[in-house]
Amino acid sequence: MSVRGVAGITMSAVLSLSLLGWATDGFAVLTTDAARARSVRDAPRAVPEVTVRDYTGATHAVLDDGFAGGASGTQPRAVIVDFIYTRCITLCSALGGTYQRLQREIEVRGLQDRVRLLTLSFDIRFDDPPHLAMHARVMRAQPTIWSLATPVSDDERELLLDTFGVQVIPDGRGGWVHNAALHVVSPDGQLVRIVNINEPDVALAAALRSWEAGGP
Amino acid sequence: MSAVATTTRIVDVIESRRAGAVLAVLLVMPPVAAGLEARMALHMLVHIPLLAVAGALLIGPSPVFNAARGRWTRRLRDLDIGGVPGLLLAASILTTWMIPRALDLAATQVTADAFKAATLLLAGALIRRSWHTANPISRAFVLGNMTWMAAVAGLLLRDAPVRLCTNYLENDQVHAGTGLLLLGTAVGARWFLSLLGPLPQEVRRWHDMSPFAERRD
Repeated sequence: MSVRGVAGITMSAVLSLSLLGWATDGFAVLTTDAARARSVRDAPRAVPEVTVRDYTGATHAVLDDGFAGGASGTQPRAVIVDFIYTRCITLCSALGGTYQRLQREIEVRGLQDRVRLLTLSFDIRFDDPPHLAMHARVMRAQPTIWSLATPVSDDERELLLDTFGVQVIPDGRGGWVHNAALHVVSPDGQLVRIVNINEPDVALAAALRSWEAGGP
Repeated sequence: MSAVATTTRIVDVIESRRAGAVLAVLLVMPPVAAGLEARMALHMLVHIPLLAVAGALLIGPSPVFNAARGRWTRRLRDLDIGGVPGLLLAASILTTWMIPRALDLAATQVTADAFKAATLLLAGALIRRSWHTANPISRAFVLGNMTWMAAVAGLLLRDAPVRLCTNYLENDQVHAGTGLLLLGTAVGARWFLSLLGPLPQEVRRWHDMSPFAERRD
């Protein structure tokens, strides 16, 4: 084989591997969801201070914890965040079930001072405080553990979805489809882990770890 | 060859390259690209293959390339030994754009989409160029692998319990899977049919040198 031939095959192999490596984050992922989970784990992202309106109608920064230190602890809590819209009848109801399980787990194990749950709706037109409140009632969300809120403007909604890597697409029937996951935010406001929705235990463990890491 | 025939041939060549240019420009125009990338099946089965077709048209038929006497053309010809480097790179490019994450990137980021168009035009050109120089074994290897992979990827898309692209709906994913399965099977079957008939000369020669050859003393 000629020197040129060897060079040609080497060049082709190097280019091929670089290209496939680029698309898969170094042969680690095949999907966008896996890529975002990996990216967040390697480099936590600061959650922007967007303004949200909760189901009582009050507006505040998205990670403001109305009940921080309300019980025994004074240290801020880790948060497990999910994104939904209350009219959703498919994936969001699965997420609702997962959150109910998480809430029970937090209660039973007495973790209220360390971890809380936050459900954010991206349907900012429809999910006004009354609708959110109704959803909270249906889900039996306990205010001290589980809060629900909606960004107050389209820009803030976009910023929030972008940071969390959530993509919302129309489902062609008037609703939306979105990549659902459990997003673990540390007490100091960093998105540190993104966990599959069928692994709430993993999310809770990650949240507790981030709380302990932030401890005195 | 008569002067008329030569002229006709040249016109054919120019026409086909012009068609390639028109097709390429059309496919990267924002409304067209956005329309074809709006659905996963259209993205995978129309936009991506057509970009490769445009690349193949743009490079022109083999005689044009073979007759080109430029220093760079000659170097490229030397590098593409037996067509293998070219086919390998083309196969990798096509594989890359079957990866769900790559499809998502192309559908959401302009730079990734431009990169997709550039690499696929290259892939089409490479396939047309290198296929011509490749021997039957290399062709069988690359084409067999690619069609098999497309068909299996199609099956996986059809059966995936979750959405693999954040940009596309689940039923769209099933359609893309069905299309990929059919495309892989059809291209593979068509190529397999072309193999029926006597073995090509080169294969027969290698076969005669191999341990499987019947001894004819």
